[in-house]
Amino acid sequence: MNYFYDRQIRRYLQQFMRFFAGFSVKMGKDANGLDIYQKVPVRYGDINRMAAHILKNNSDNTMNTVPFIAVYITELLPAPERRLNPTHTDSVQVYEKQYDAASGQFLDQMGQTYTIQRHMPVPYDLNVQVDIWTSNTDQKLQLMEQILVLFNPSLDLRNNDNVFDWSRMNFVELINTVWSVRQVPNGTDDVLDVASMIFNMPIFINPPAMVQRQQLIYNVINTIRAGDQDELNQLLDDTYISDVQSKWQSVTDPERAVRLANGELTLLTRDLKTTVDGDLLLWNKFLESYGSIRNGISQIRVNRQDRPGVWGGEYVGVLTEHPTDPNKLLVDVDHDSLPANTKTAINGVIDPTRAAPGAGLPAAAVGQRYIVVSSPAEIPAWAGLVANPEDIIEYNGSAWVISFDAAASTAVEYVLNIASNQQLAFMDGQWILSYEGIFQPGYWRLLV
Amino acid sequence: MPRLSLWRKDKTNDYKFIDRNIKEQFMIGGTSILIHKYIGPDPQGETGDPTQPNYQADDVFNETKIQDLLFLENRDRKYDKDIYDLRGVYNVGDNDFDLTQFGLFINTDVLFITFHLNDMIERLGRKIMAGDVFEVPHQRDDTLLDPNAPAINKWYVVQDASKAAEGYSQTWWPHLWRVKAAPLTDAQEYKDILGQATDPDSLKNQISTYVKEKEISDAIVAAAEQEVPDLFPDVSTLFNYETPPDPNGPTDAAGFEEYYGVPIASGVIFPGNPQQGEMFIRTDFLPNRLFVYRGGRWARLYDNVFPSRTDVVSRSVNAGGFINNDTQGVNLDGQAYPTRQPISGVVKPRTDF
Repeated sequence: MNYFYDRQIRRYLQQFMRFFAGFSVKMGKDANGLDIYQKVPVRYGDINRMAAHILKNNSDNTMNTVPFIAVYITELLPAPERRLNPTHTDSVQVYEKQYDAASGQFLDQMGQTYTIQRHMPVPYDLNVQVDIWTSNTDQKLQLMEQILVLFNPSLDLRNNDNVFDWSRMNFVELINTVWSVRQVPNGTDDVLDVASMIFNMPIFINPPAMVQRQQLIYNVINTIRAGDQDELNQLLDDTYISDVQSKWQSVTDPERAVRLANGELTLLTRDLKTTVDGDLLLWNKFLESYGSIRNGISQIRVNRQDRPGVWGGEYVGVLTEHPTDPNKLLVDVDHDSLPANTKTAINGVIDPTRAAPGAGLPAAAVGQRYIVVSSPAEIPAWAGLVANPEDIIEYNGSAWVISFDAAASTAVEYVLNIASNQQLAFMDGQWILSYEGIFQPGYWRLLV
Repeated sequence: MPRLSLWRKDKTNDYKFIDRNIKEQFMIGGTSILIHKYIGPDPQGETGDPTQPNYQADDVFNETKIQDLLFLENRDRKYDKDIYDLRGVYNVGDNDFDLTQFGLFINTDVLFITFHLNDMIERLGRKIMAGDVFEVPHQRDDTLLDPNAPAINKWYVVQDASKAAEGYSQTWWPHLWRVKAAPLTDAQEYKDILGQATDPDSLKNQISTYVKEKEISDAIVAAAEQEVPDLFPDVSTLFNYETPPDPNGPTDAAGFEEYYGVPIASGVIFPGNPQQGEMFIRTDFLPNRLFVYRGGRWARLYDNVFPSRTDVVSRSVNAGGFINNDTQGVNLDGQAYPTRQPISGVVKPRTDF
């Protein structure tokens, strides 16, 4: 086993001793008749001889001081009644703020992202004894009264302030007291009296957590809204509220790309491979820290913007697990998320060298439009139409004409293909399915 | 002719002759013992408690008085500012340290010192009694671990005193006073000699472990505060986490969730089949109360107390707001009074005269 030590019991003790460090006792009056109060020190009782000699300055002439509180562990017992599934693990997603090294400040922006896996801790009962050393009964009563009133029945104890430590909140309970070790009748020495209090702390001992860089395209939506009653009514009516403040943040995985094609979403490496070291990339493995795909609910969102992480106008697809291929998910594209068509719908994509009106295509009719993938100029059926691949041709009632000249267009255009009910996009001189393609890190995200 | 007898009912010249020789023996062979003479309980003023009389008011103030007639103890002691130098004799023995939670002890470090009775009474005015404090100069330690620390004497307090068996002469009259003395502790009883912790030059701060113990105690608290600086976890470097809530924030269960970082179930009755460690907010408690299920019960963690909820004591301690209360009230006569008062003493009838 590798070494690890997180000072857990030490921290429990420190926090416990903190409870007893603030008490004072009244020590009579000074020369002016004013009350004298002395703070009572507390320290660990089971001390080392060398440290004890140093405390006394290596001299038996040095006096010990009272009142004084000593704390020490008497028992550490397994607590089987509090034991849970010993192999249980739990994951938490963590988003750090971005750190600006120049200013030394954390910015209100997403920074590093991690997944913290926590393993089930082991329950124990930590019994601690508190010895209260006093030199007279009144002093002892002063201290006892201040302490006893606190435990009704318990006090809250946190052993650290890390929000991800699932066992940080504990409590301390007083379970017994021993009034005095100097019983009546007095022994040979009546200088000091010791009263003991025994406390119980149900604690947990944690194994180390596993912190991994978050590897999921995972979207955290944090919407802050401020509105009046009318806007609240709008919200209840599920209508859009204008002028409300919203903040959207997303996190992306820098190591994984996806291919969206043929209604399937394939998980890839950055260099577009489906394997790593011969092992197939699996969606369920990729998602295991975050849950799993919820069929018909989880979404893929892809981005065709110029810059990664710019999520305006993204395309949305609803995901379903693939029945046979764990490297793929089935995608049902939400057409409402697609951009508006900029061109009149076409009746299909055709190869004019193989099909023509009345010969594989319906008879020519006014308004018929096709995208051509080759030049029909030499084909008699098209009556001498001169067009180039990627052009849109249209029948105007007497002849086929070019409606969209691809060679002369540089802008992105969108058109609906009536034959397949799919939207096409004209980009970089060619028509492609508007939402299909390969999306590198930063250009896609999942909502699981 | 009377029969020979050394016994006389009066202290005759035989007694005086022997006594002078014994005294001389102590002067020659004894060691110096510096006596801090107890002179009575330190007046604490009027307490209103008959078991703690105000001897100062009666102008009767001496060693015969007991400060607390219930516990029968003199915890505030007055010592003569003059220090009396007597000669005493005792056997020096070897001691072993005993390590306890309290620190190092020498359990066997109890001296049985004998003094010359008449010399003691002549100088001190009375016999040495329990509560008198000794300094033993010949045990002065001038080689402490800290080379800059001043040399310190060895201090003892008298626990018992009685006539010494070996102190009876042929006349059957006693000449010696045997004292049992234990090492002195830095305690309330001796503050008239040792001084107070607030005085950096006090004897207490030089010869007692109080200063070091206080430093240790403060270091433990500092370490604990470093781990848990305040009531709320530090999420200031995390994105999308609530920062410590506004002290004037909500008083409902949401306050706990802000604190914990994740939602916590809430309601007016506990879940039927809770898991170990499950948390639950009882919203029928005002303020709302956070419980955790441990073992076979729902254990209270703390209350959602506003606006002072950053105060651990106010949230965790049932009566925190009652104990940490420094506020003053003003009555109809315009007189200020502390609103925190012992329950046994609140609004009692006033005396007519």
